[in-house]
Amino acid sequence: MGLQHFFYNNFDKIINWRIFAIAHYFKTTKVTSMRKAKVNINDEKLQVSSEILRALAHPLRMKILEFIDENDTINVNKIYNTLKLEQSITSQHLRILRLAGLVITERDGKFIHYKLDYDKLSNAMEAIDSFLEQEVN
Amino acid sequence: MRKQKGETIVLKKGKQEIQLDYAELRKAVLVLRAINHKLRQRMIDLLEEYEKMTVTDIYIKLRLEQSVASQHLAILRRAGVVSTERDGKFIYYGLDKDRLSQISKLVEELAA
Repeated sequence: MGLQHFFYNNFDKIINWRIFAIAHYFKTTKVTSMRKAKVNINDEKLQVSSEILRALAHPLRMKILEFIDENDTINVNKIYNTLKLEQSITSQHLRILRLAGLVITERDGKFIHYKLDYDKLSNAMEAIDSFLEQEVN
Repeated sequence: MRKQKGETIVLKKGKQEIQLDYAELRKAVLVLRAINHKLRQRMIDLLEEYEKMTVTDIYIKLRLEQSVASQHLAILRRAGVVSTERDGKFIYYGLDKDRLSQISKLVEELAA
């Protein structure tokens, strides 16, 4: 019983299997050639926009944004004193907002003042709102 | 649809008022989080290539456990990135290209 013998005896099975494989190949490649253009999402931009959204979607950070808005510019001490937060926590959240580019810092002597980047905020909210509007349809 | 108080803030000192709603922001976060994941991106690429696949096709191609594949597909489905279609006893997964281009537009605008 050599290998040749095996092929000879099982010829029809082997052929069937190969026809199946070829048919499967065409089935999968045909749709591939018909597909629409690939939607590319730039990874770097995805990271940037995820950071912005993550920074915004947080109740306490929203409260901090609201508080800075009410006061135009403000230093960290006043933020944590008024909102009754721990300084370390406040600084942590401000850092996240700053890295997302939503708040700007200005140094004035030994104080660091925080203010909102309104252009960035309104640009972000416009993009988010129009995205979510499409979702309803 | 009026938003619950306390979950919405309005920033008033800019050129125009900016309203932030926590629940809305969360929705957008979940969509970006769904696609910002290496394995789920591979699933998207695979569905891009084959158009329609069953869970079995997907987990075999990606050499995953079925449960893992199902979990990640569910996340993509909740984000609206993939949709399912029943054909007899098979459930086929496919990409929602329109949704993907909406997400792409969101990413472009946010990162601008």
